[in-house]
Amino acid sequence: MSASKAVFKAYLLAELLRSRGIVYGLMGMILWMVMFILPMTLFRPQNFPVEVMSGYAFTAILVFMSYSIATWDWAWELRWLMRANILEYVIASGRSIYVLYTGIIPVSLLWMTVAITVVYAVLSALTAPPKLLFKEPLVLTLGIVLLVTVLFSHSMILGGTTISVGTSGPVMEILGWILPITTGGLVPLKNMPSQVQAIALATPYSYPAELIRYSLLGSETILPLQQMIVYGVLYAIVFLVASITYFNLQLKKMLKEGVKTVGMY
Amino acid sequence: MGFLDILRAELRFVYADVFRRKSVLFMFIAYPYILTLFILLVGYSMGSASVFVERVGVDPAIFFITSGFILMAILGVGDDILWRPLFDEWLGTLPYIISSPVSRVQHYISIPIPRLLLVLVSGSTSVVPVLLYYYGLHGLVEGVAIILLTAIAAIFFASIAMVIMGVLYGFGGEHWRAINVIRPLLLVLLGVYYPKYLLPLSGYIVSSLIPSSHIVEAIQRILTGYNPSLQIMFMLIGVATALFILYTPIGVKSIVYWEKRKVGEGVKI
Repeated sequence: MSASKAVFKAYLLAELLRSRGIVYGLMGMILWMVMFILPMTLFRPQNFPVEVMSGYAFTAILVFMSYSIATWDWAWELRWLMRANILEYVIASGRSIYVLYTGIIPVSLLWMTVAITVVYAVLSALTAPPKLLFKEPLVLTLGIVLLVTVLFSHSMILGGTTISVGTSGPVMEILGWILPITTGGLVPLKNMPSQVQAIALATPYSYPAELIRYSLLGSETILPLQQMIVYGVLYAIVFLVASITYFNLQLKKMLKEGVKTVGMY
Repeated sequence: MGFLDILRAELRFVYADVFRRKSVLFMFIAYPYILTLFILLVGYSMGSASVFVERVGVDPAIFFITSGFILMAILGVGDDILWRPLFDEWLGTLPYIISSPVSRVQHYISIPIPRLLLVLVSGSTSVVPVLLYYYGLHGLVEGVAIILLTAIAAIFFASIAMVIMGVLYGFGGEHWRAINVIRPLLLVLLGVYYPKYLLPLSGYIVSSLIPSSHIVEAIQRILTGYNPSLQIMFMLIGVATALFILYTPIGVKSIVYWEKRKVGEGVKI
């Protein structure tokens, strides 16, 4: 517990508090949002309600940001530790490597809460307040829990690969863009081409995103709701177990072979 | 050590890395397509291509593949100049670089060139095929013109990136946080994804202070057919060149200032 607290404090200070990190972080995020949202508004027909468009943009950003956190805060952190020669000390301390995550995840969730509030405010200013229905709050809660579970598993796979082969930045970047697109993270699956629908449903990522959109936007899920829930829960559990097993195997491999040397990026 | 020697060293350094890590090479080719796909999917889900054509004057696929390519070229130059001192500092190589007997200014001018050349070549896998598909042979000519103009836009961006780099690093502090704000701000103002002429007046005025924004406007005029007369094109390139000439000496001074600060500080452990 003391180690978890220490890690939490360290990340809270480094990521959010030191040098007004949260202010710079939010400013950067708002500008990226403006850059991508402005062109999307050029697609909106006059008769399409602007608040509905804003709601679509809100959920797309929510899911995309969640993917980014899993990729860059949770998985990429291991690469930072390797590059800064800290990972060896973490291992030598005798603590579980998962202690790191007990500190990082609350900081990420804290950031996410603030960020998503700011997203709402920016969208309201740029277009209109997003129209969010909050239909069946239990479905929304389940969707969020499943999303966190799936994304933690995702970070375990990426993190495991990173400590095993020193995955590079470009690989992470490509995955960070491709995955949300191809797994139905951004757009309701009903609006996607059938090939993308098939790919998305074959991955565990699409189910939480569909549940969240169902509750927030009232968009119809591609499979009946009950099926989405059952498949989503089962898939998330299987993915979590598989990813932790994979990560532990890579960790063992690293302990045998030593920590890899990685480049700057 | 002259400029060409430094450039040769940079070329070897970057290309060895890019060809060793094929993922980097793949990223150069894939990025414009990924960005296009990202915007089109979300855009189509809440509207239609015909509305976009009505407002902007060109098919969104053409507009965004070109935007993605321009973004890669300009962002590449900006990132190389803005991030390199930090990467060198984190890796511990900065003291060696500062103490090496080469002109710091020449070094920083040479840094973005290898990656920029690679991005420009990648125009043949993004802008050119898409324009060829839509417009046939005429598209090929347009594609080549866009690549050349993008090269100018990216080179002109180096001057303002040098000014920012020198000033930012000269003042000290945690530079990466500020860079993470400045990067997207410059990209918004460049008007790559949202044409400058659609920005509010204040945005338009600030945007006009960035040399490359005028070249981006020239490219968008070619694409959309919005008054792409030779006179307007030369005027835009002329304004961009004048701003580039204005900023370059400030950029040079700014890098010299940063170098002096670093030498004054000494090596930090």
